[in-house]
Amino acid sequence: MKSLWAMCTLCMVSVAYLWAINDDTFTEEKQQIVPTTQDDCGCSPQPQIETCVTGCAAIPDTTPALTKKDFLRNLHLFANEPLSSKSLALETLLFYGEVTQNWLPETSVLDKEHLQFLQRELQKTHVEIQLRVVDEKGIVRIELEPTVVKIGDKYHQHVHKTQEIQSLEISGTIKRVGLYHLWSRF
Amino acid sequence: MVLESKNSWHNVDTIWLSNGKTNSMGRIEFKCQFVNKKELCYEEN
Repeated sequence: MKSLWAMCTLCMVSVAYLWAINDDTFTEEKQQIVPTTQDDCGCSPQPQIETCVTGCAAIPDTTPALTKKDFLRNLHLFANEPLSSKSLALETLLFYGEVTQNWLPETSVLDKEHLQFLQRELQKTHVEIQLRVVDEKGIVRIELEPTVVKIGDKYHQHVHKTQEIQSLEISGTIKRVGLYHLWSRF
Repeated sequence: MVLESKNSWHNVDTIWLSNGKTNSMGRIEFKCQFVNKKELCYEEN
């Protein structure tokens, strides 16, 4: 009788244990929100869901807008400077290329030389990017063929040209930060 | 990262490559060049 009672107790404990395990198993996985730190691209701290694939391309652009007052101040500075890559005013106007392009016709502070130079530079609205990963033997294992992306827009590319490695995706943003320089994050 | 716009490769990073059989370090190279809006239109046409 005692052994029968012990068997029943053991069965009840086992059933309770299995129920507890199943309860945990079928509980929906909760997404954990963790704060991220300020990014070097000027992006604000954003919540990141750990189960998602995110990157800088998924973070909203929080670059401060150029005011009309700052635009005119930089334009006047540029008008009185030699045409050089060391001009912060020129580089600011190029960084805000689309805004500069829109507001430039309203002003007439530039001489012909400065105006033609700035307009020519503002035509550079896109960038051709290429990426490859080369292993220790010098073999190109991953290759993103020449791809044109718009400056300031977020891009997302699937890379299928791979050798003995799975295909992958890259995403990022390109910004103009100078007469000859680009900022990139991917 | 800030890169010069030019027709040559920039070494930007390294990654560990593994396909389950072989492993190797991989050098990530990136190239970026300005494209003129007019040239882009010409290519599309």
